[in-house]
Parts: sequence; structure tokens; C-alpha cells
Amino acid sequence: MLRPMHIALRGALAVIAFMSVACETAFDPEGTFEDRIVLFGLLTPGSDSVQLRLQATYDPPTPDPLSYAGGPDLTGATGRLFWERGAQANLRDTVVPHPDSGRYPTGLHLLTAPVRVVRGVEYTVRVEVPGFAPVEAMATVPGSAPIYFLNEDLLRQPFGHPADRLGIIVGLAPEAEGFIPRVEVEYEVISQGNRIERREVPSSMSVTVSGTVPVYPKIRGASSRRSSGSSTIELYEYEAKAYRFLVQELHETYGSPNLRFRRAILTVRTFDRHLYTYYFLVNGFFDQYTVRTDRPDYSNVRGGVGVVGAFAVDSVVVALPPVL
Amino acid sequence: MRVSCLIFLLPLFASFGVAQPTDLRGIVADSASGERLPFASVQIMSLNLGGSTNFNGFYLLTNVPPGTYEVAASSIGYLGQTRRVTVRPGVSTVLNFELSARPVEFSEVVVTERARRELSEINTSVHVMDVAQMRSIPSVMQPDVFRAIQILPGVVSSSDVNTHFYVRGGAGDQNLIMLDGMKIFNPFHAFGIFSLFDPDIIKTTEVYTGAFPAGFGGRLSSVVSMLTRDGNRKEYAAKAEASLASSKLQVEGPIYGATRFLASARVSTFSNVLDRVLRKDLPLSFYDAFVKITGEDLVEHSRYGFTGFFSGDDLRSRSSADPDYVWRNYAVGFNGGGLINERLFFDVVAYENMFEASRRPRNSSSTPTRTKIRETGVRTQATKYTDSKDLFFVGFEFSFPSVDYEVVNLAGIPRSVYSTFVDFWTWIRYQAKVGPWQVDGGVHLDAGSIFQRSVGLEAVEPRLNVSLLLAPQWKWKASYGRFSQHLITVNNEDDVIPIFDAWIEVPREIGSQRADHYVTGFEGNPWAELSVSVQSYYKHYRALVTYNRDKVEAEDPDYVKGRGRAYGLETLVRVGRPGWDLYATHTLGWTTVTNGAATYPPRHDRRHSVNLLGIARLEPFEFTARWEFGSGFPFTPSIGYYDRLTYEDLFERPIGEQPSEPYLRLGEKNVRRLPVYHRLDLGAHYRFSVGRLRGSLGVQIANVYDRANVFYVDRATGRVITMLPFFPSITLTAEY
Repeated sequence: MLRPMHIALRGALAVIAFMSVACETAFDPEGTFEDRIVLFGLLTPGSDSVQLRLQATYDPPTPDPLSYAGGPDLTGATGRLFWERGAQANLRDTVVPHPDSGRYPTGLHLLTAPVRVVRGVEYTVRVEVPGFAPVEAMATVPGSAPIYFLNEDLLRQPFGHPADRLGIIVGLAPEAEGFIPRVEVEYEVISQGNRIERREVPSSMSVTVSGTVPVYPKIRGASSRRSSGSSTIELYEYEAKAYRFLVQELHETYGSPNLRFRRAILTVRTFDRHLYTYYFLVNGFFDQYTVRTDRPDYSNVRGGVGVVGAFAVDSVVVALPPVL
Repeated sequence: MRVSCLIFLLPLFASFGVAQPTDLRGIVADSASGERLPFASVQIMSLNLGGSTNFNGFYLLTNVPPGTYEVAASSIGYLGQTRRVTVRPGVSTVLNFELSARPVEFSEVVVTERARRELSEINTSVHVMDVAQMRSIPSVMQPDVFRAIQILPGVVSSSDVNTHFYVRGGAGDQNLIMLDGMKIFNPFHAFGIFSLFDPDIIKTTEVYTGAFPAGFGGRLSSVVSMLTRDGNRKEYAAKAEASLASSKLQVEGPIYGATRFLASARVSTFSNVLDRVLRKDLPLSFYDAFVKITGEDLVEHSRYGFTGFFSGDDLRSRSSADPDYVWRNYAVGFNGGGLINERLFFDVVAYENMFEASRRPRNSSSTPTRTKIRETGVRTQATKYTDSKDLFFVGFEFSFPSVDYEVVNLAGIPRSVYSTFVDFWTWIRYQAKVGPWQVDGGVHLDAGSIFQRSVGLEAVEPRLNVSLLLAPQWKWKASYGRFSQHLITVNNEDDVIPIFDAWIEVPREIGSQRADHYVTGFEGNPWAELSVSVQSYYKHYRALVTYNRDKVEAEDPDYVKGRGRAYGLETLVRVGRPGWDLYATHTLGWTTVTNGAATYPPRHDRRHSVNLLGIARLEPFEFTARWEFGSGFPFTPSIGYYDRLTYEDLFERPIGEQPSEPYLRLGEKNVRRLPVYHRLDLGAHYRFSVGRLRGSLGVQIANVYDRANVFYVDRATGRVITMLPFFPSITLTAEY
């Protein structure tokens, strides 16, 4: 009978030999490449056509993704746009110069339909490209957003008005997840030939080591998470001193005698859920307090990658006295 | 609040102080150095009555009938000693032992496990290692405490190049590291290449891989409690050691009366050597220093002293295109312990520790970052020896951690996360033996969270260990424990080498991380030469800090509460004969983390881990061999790229003119596995002596068959980075 020591030794050697050989497996750090259609689209009533940007995922020949050039073969792409009550339109495949023409000299595929989208309506796009799985995405264009200034007198009397805030009221339609306001001042410069210009009004002023700098509005979500189908009223406040700062700066730049104020334009862009979410994720959550360093992805394109989203623009105008 | 708590607890301790006569008590110490020996066994043979020494080398046998007895004391690595003593009625008798060291025989550790302390007989998941064992394990360049720990079942090492470890599926920050009762937050030199602790300053290391008893808390997975040596009380001694990685000098000796000191310092030898280990062009220099002054009173059995520990690492990159890193650590503490009443032993340590790390970007694309944690606290425990020979413990730990993390976030904005709070833990614990049953039960109370986190019953953390002697050679054990943790590291869990262990407080909206442990198993010695242990464990993580995958806006929290579980089976076999020892462990484990709807294995999930260790002694030589095997760690495969629109100018440009940038698409999280890991290390030591000078010359070869174990794949370059190649090293030690 073998002694325990010998049994143990032989057992150990057998384990080493067996596990070293039997457990060996082939190793490939890359997973199986997924050939997918990449679809981006912005549906907005402000445009008289729907445009979808058509690309594909790629597997670069080297670890450097920029080594991939030329673009995939998307010949034969077809698409259709559907909306309420069975209405549909064909999306026509066109090729336009790619913004990164150095890398993609063959151009960029755009699927276009001469359709002006309507607020509050859900749109579905379906795209097929030979060799790829078909993709589908849905987006609903945000409905009308009632907007107005809460105290527009402040715009007309920046230096005589007691308010320290300029309020903006935005009614968010049920389809809208977020919004961004923009207030512009339009004025006429009458020296060296008359011309009309616009400047955006900052929402606040920030004191930094390099001085006082203007801060412009950022996209903001609904003030509370809503159940589907409900609207909210949102208040967005501008600091009055930021408006005064801009007016003062214009006076100093052009000289008061050369300046004629014309009007203030409030523009509010409202976003559907997909565009809103994607926009935050690609921009690091726009969170100045986060300590996270990951950059997650988001897609609403079933069977593919990318985002088809929607936004709408509303505006109101307030006439300004020539002299502020 | 601090003072009021102390006032509250003092009467509790004092209430134990009922004088009990006819006890036998004393200290067991090393005869050459006077070093007190924990876990030594003391037996009155004729009465079949015995006990073991505590961390202070103190033992107490209660209610010894008056008479004259032969009392035997023994400890691992020492020659046993028997002394005659007469116990008189109504008087406590003091009997101290001084044991002579003998060459350590690993087999003794193997087959006389039952002769270890009482504690290890009850707890399921405890392992005790001493310096000799640690030095026996082949290492890379120099012996290392944490590298030695990684042979234990349930412990998974993250790689060859660092000593970070994961216990039973727990994350790296869930391990409580203690040095003489002081917490150490970052116990590693840079990149974790070595632990901070010179094995020669460590007397004993106690490792709980789960279900640890009341008295330990604040972490979810494990406890590594290191007890340092006091230094030589009788004569001066010095030790020098040089290896390719570091050079060391250690001195110790008496100061005055029964006061002695121990001082040790290590500095890196050749920074370039580490390039080869790290596989990076990184000149790393480090140091660590330890000083301890201890006084004692052998009659009153008391001991008191000061402990200081300091370390630093500097990584000054050769290229200005790479950032520089600096790490600093210190821990200082005053400790004392002694018999304050006939049967009441008291231990206390007041400490402050600090860990700070920073990154200086220079001309690199990285951003400046800094993390700092500082904690001041006091930890105390009273042990009550009862008439029935049961033990009763009560204690508390009161500390003030402050954590500060500065980082430049994705928005390019400097961000500082600072928090300070009060940690207040208190516990009560009872150890009893009833026939074949032994029970170690108690409650660990997270009192601080009751006030600061509005926690109710969750603050009560029950702990229970039970063992049943089934047969003279076999024992069944079972354990349960509930644990919580308030401090975590916020490293990206997918980082291959965690350079920066940035600590933060668990976000208040999550409260604390929480886990329950369930462990059961059998242990036994089927033959005199063979000891076997089989344990299964299940850990339920009721609350884990995980990324908020639904975060969209700034108002959404970064982290949310996740959950997880880990379970597995551990087998440990030891075979020992004079001159030969074999030690084998196998761990079969599964770990998953659930974050929202996604459940995935964390990066350190390893299905199989095998460790084989063989030691042969042929004086003056000692030969060691270690083979380690691990199934592959999970990783997330890349599945291609796409050009993602950045929408920098969302409103002004039509979609066809929007700029884009390549975005890496990742597959299902951690769905794939790296290849299996295995490595054979060999070591040989030659011991010599010239007059009073003793020394050893060691040769170690890591990765004897040059296995190309995959460390990680650099996605940016596609390069497969492998771990340590065939790597010989030598160590020379001289001791006077």
C-alpha cells in the first residue's frame, strides 16, 4: 500500500499535468463583430423634409478605429416613414459629402423624404440594407409648448426695473422630456453702414479667476418625472444682472448713439425622450458634480445602433424700445 | 459624544470585576527574546484542563482545585515545557513560561492543527500564519505577507504584479486590514506590487475569510489582522536583507528594564528591476518603516507601548508625457493591555492612520487627482474569564474617518467629494463549550449608523459560530454573520491595475453596503499525517454600491444600490511528514452582481483556484515549490465601433453635417473569460552561520516554465499584456 506522502505527491503531479493541458483554451480578446446599421435622425417640424443619416458599425483592421476608412457598402438601402392612420412615405437614398471626407471619401448616405413632421405625432422609420438586419425606430415630435416671459417689462427697462430675475414659462407637452430656452436681443448698429445683429442673453454671470464670465442656459428636464400623457409647466429663470451685463456691453462696444434696440426673441426647443437622453449621455451627463468617468451608450434603434429623436422649436418676440 | 460613550461603557467593564480565587494564570514567552507568544497551549494534564494564550501571550485557567500539578505549555515552533506548580486555595497563582524555539517543521502546523487555539476550533473560516510559514512560500524578489495569504482557500489574487486580493467573491475594498488593531486603508506599495508589511515585523497573521466573529466589522468580506513583534527584551539584535527589490535593516533590543524596541526600514533597491515585473517603463521607488516601543510588567501581565508605521511610493515617469504618482501612508498608535481585575483582561489601542495618493499629469492627457483618508479612533476590548471556563468579550471602536477625493470629471470640472462622520461600533461576544459543542456567538452593533444613517434593526449584526465534535478526528462547523461597510473605493471596477484606490463614504441615500455570510463544513485528521477541511459558503450582498445605469441628468445619482451573491466550495488538504510537507487547496466559486436588470460576474470572479505547495527540508537547505492555477477572469469583449454623433451643435447643423467620433461597442458585460492562469515557482534556501552571525541565501525562480499568462488586452493598441515571465531572483539575509 502506498504511503499517504507518495499518494499526495503523485496526486499533485497528476493535477498539475492534467489542468495545465486540459484546461487550455484558445483566446481571442475580441468578441464576434456585430455588423449593424447605424441610424441617426432628427425629426423637427421646422424642416420641410425628414433626413436620416445611414452608416454601419465597423471592425477596423487595427486597434486604432481611425484606421477604418472608406465606409461600408450600403448600396441598395431602402426606407419608409410611417405615421398615424397608415400614412407613409418612401425614404430616398442619396449620397452627400461626408463631414470627415478625408476618412470617408465615398460620401455619406442620407435617407430623405419630403415630409414635414407634425407635432404630437409618432413616427416610425424602417430601414433595410442588403446584408444587414433591418432596423426600426420610433420618435414622437413634442407637441406645442406655450411659452412666455413672466416679467417682460424687465426686458424693456433693464436698469429701472426692480426685479432681479427674468422668468420664462414653458409648457412641456407630454411627449417632451426636456427643453432649452434661448433669449436673443436684436439690435441695429447705425455706424459705418446700418446692420442688424443678434446676441444671446446669458442666463447668469459666473465669477472666475479670469473675471466675470457669462453663463448660457443648459438643457433641463421636466421638473418631475411624469407619467405618460401629462403636461407640466416649467419655470426657467435668468438673472436680471446677466441681461443688464449684455446691454451694458453692447453700449460700450458700439457706443449708445450708434445703437438701436429692436426686439427680444425667446426660442424654446423641446426634446423627445430619446434625443434628450442621448444628448446627456454623450456629453457626460452635463453633471459638474459627478465623479463617474464612464461614457455609456444609448440607442432606440431596434436591430441597430444610433438614435432617431425629435425636437420642436417655439418662439415669442417682445418689441424693445430703441434705447435701453 | 465620545466621552459619554466611554462613561457608558466603563461601568459595564467594571461590573465584571468580581474577585475569583484559585486561578492559574501567566504569560508564555520566547526564551531568547522575551517575545510573548499568542495561541500557545497551556494544559494541566492530570485535570484535563487547559486553555490558550491570547494576543498578549496571556492565559488564565479558572477554578483550578488546590493541589500540585504538572503544567505543560507548547506552541508551534517551540519546544514544549512542563513545570510543576502548587495552587493554593483562595489565591491566584502565577506561572510564566519561557519556551525555546526550535526549527519550524511545517508538518507540525499540518497535523497539530487541533492543538491550535480554541478560537480556530470554533470558527469556520479562520487561518493563522506566522513568519516561518510566510517565508516558506516562494515569492517574487522578496517574501510578502499578502502573497502568502493568497495560498489560502477562498482567496483569489488579481495578478502576478500586484498583491491585491479578493476573498470569496468580495471586492478588494471589502477586506479589513489591521496592524496591531489599527486599520490600514491602502496596504500596498504602488500598483500593489508588494504589501507594505515586512514579514519580519509580523508575529502572527490571522485571516478570516468569512463569517468573522463579533469584534470585527466595517467590511463585508474578510479580516487580515496582523500582530507585530515587540522586539527582543534580552539582547540587541540586527538583521539585514538585500534582494533585487528592496534592502532592509532591522534592529531591536532592550531599552530600559522591561522596555524594548523594534525598528525596521525597507527601501527599494533598483527601481529599474520593477519595470520588468510591471511590464511598464515606470521607475518606482518606495520605502516603509516600522517602529515599536513596548513595556511590560510580567507580574501584572500588562503590556503597553507605541507603534508607528510609515510608507511612501514615488513613481516619477521618465517621459513627461506620462503622469507622476505619489502615495503616502502612516499609522501610529498607543496600545495597552493587562489584567485589570482577577479575571478581566483589557486591551486598548488609540490610533491615527492616513492614506494619501495623488496624480500629477505633467504633459499627459490625464487629469490631476488626489485622494486622502484620515481616521482617528480608539478600539478596546475586555475579556472576562468565567467560572465555567467560558469567555465573554465586550468592546467598542470609536473613530472619526474623513475622506477627501478630488477629481476632474467628464465635464472638465474639478470636483471634491469630502465627508467626515463618526464610526461607532460596539460588540458583545460569548464563547462556550458544552460537551461536544462549542459556540462563539455575539452581536456587533453599528451604533453610529443608528444616529447618522437612520438605521434601525439593520444596525444589529448577529454573529454565530458553532462546532460539533462528531468523532475524535472530525468536526462539523457552521457560521453565520451579518456585516456592513460605510467606506468604499470608487475605482472603475473594470480597471486591470487599480492605481488609485480613492475612498469615499457610501452615498447616504444608499446607507451602507450590507452582506450576510453562511458557512458550513467539516474538518478532520483521518490519519495522523493528513488533515482535511471542506467548507461551503454562501454570501448574500443585500446592498452594494453600483453604477446608476439609468443616470441621464446631473440630478440623477451616480450610484445606486445593487445586490449580489457569491457561493462556493473550498477544499484544503495538508499532508505532513518530518522533512516534507504538501499543502493543497481548491476553491470552486461563483460570484454575480446585480445592477438593475443586469446580472454579471464581477471582474474578479474565478471559477476554479488551485494552490499546491510543497516544502522539503534537507538541512541546511530548504526547497519549496508552489503551483498556482486559476480559471480565467471575466472580461467584456469589444464587438466593433461606430461613429457616434456628438451633437456639439445640435441646432445649427443638419444631420448630414454633424461631426462624429469613433465609439467602441462592448458586448455583454464580463461575458467572456481570459485564458486559464497557471504558474510554477521554485525556491531554495541555504542557511549558514559564522560565529554569532546567522544568515540565509535564497534563490527563487518565478514562472519556471515561462507561462504567458494573459494580464489584459490594451484596447488602444490591441497588445496582449502578459504577466510575470520566467524571473529568477536572489535574497541574502544576515542576522546578528
